[in-house]
Amino acid sequence: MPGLALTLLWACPILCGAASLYLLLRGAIRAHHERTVAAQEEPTFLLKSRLVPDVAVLAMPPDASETSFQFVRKLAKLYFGHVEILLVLDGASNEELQAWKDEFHLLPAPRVDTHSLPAEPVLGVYASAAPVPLVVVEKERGGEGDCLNAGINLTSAPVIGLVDWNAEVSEGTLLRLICPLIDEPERIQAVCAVAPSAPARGLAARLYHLDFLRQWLCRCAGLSIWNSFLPATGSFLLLKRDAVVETGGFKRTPGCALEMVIRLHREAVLRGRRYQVRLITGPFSRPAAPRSNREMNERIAREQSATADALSRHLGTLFVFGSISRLIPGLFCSRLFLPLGETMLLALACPALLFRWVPPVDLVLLISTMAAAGIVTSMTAVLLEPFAAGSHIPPREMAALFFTSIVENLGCRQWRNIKLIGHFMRGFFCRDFRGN
Amino acid sequence: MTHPALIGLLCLQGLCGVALLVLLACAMLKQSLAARRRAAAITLGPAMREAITTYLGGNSNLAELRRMAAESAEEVEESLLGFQARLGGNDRERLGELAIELGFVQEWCEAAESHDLEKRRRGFSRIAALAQSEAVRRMAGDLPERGLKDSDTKVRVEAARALLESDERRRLEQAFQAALGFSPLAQLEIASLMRRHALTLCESAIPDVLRKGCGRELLITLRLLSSWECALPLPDLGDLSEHPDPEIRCETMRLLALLPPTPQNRRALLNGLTGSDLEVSLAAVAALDRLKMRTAMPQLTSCLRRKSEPLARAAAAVLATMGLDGAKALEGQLPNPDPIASGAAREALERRSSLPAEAWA
Repeated sequence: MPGLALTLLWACPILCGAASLYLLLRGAIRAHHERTVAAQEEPTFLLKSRLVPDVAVLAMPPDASETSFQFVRKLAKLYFGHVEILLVLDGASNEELQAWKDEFHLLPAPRVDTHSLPAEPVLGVYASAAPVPLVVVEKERGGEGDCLNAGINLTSAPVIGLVDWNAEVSEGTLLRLICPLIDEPERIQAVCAVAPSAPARGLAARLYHLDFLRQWLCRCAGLSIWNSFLPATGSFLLLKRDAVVETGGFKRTPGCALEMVIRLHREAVLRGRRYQVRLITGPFSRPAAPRSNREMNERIAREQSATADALSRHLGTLFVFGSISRLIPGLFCSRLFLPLGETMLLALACPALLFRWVPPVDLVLLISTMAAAGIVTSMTAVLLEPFAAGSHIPPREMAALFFTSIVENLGCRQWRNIKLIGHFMRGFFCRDFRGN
Repeated sequence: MTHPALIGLLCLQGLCGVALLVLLACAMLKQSLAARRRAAAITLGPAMREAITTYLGGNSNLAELRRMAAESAEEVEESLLGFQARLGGNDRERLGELAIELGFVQEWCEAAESHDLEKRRRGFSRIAALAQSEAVRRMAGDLPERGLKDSDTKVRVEAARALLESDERRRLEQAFQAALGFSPLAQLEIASLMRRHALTLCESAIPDVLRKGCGRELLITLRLLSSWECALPLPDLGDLSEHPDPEIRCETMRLLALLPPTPQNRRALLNGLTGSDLEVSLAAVAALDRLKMRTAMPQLTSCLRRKSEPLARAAAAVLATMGLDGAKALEGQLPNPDPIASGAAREALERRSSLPAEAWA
């Protein structure tokens, strides 16, 4: 009897694998459709028009290193008519501030603080004397959400751009992202561009690519079918300033952009608005490939904790209907229940063998089918990538990714599951980590 | 009992694996073929461009280009279209003739009449891209006019683009009328093309809409006009500044900055400035900033006392750019007990003093 119960339990991850395979296919079709419907040519006519809303791109550099400078220089090259890059330095030291001043020839600039959102005091505002639309804000330490609120207080631009520090952004991103906001200003609440990372060499980069690809196809493109889209790592997000101010600004959480999008969904559903959070699937913004195993683990940890934190703040939304009714349970399922269930079943294998609940052959077969389900899902994702994202993957790299699926599901994923559970619990329960 | 089921499931997964392997082989083949095609296009590109340049330079020998078009028509077509943005005058005309000679325009016209939506969109977009050429326009005939009645928005936009390449007033007016029904993004695209026909359109089409139009149509027209950002020879907009819809009044204020400063238009601006709607007043302040209308100084100063921070700031900023008189008006507001008025005046004066004299003088 316990054997039968265990076997039925084991069937759950296999069924979940089948469900994710279905979502993967639906997501790929959706992403392909989004990509082909979008205009083929860059909408350069928007560059000159006065009717295009101004955009302020907010960014928080982690340090004053050369990598950060390069990232800001890339942002300054964004192709758009009226754009300013608002760089918020969160409790930067004098040396760091001086480094930024030297690098971008910063001079004090008068700015009006609207105090629309709560934020720590601003210590200084500087504008670049170089021909780049860069404004640097020095403020007291308050975390990512606080920085974003301070940035919003200092800009009058009606559209706010948020870019992930790990993202590789193409120059035409803003031109593409602004189109839905111009076309349907009342309906579109946010627009987000995110695509799978570029293929890179090394096992860590490939494992990350596979994990992200599944997430992109299921969570991003898949959920966007039901208007339940949520941004992932490497996203470039455009939000309406008024909508952000209306919801009370960003919370002081590690994944405040994700939390904000969940809040926008919730607010719109509760108020009965016709709305959409739009996904743009072209190669405009994507996460950079991790250079080492450590970097990959750090990124996964950060994202998992941020997701858990956002979920802990929106537990009440579990009982709200509308598009959000799929969003929160879906996130719980993919980020907690699936890894937890799989790990628990593997942990149960030892007592099952010891107490003879299941014959050893059956046990081996059960574990094999679980791994095989994962392999099939990952392989399908690899094959769907060129169709969904329109990426030109070199054939060799494609084959390498395809076969990495086997390595991934024969130990790596199971080990990653244990870490995911740990990070989730930390993000969900740890108050020190969550801030206020 | 579970044993055979599990073996069956594993076999099924194995079969899936084999199928995926076959698909991988196909995908790899497809990717390598696409890579080869891209590489071939890169190799062929310079030769194509050279052949087109030679033709545009006066050499009418089409043998080489015909051979290339037979080999890879799509690439030649792309190269041709790539050229059109860089050319003007006679060269563009010659490029159109080349497209006709190579049979592309005929193909596009046929595609534009196809029942397949993708083909139709492609056909119209190509015709619109080369419609600056008189020969192409003649060959397309009334296709663009018929395209305006198409059920697909993209086709209608491309048809309007093609019509706007002509100088015929009737066609331009048709495109303008059609543009009023487009989506906001399509309107922006068309607006930039309509700008160069502003004078022709201001003769009758635009005044007609401003006179008879109502609601959305009027609002769109006003937005289109102000997006052109050029001086417009239009009649007075005095009536529109008293329109019941505040959005229309707001757009009217924006547009007034681009119209001749007739007494009626000036009065309309002052009406907007002193009106009860804050958005309209803000738009009027922005227009006054552009016009630097010194006679509006008292009304601008009164805006500082209307208990609205954005309006007070905007008005103070405009006053700060109006020379010594403006500065005096601001100084007069410094002792004002209203913190918004005094704060806005102080801020504007501080900003004024931080700028070099020639910036505000």
